[in-house]
Amino acid sequence: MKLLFRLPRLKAVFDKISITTSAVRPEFDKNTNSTVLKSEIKTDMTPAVFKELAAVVAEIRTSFVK
Amino acid sequence: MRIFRIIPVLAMFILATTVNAEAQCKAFAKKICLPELGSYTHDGNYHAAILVEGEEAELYKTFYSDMDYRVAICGEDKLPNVEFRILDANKNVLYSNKDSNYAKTWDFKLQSSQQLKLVIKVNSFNKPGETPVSGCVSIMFGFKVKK
Repeated sequence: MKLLFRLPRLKAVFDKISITTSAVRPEFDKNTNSTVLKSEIKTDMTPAVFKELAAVVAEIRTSFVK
Repeated sequence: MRIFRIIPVLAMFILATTVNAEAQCKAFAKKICLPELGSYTHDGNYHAAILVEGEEAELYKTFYSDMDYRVAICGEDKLPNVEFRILDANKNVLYSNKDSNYAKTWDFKLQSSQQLKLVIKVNSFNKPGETPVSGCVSIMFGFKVKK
């Protein structure tokens, strides 16, 4: 239960990471007889956000792993 | 006072019937739907539920870019055709088995990992005045890791 109270802090850091997904285009591949769902995902995370994320994760972990 | 004896017995009977139906539904998924995955490796989950004709169910699942997937949908023979649609995060329909004569399986792969929404709908016989048919519908996922 104590862990749940700490998660909003983690979410706040994750919210600083921008993820943009393009529209999905289904294309049928005759060679494999399957559909390829084509799309691009762009993730934008600065080094500062990465360090902050690592720090918060480490802090939460050490709170219950000794 | 007699009513207090009847209610628990009735409740236990309904509970036992429901549990039995769910167990039969899972057995149906294992026996009928699992072989539809063919050479794909089953992901270990048995998604099965009893649906009434005209009823719809939704499922969200994350798929990864380094895998080939097969989704298999099976409905009991007494049910009308089962339609399934796959939608992206923006609710665009990526696939509908209605366009493929209600095919039971669909093979696909993704360029980028993402969560997709699956909508399963049991069509209706459209027979007014008759009790709607109900039966087990199962959806299963298989994968192959790309070499």
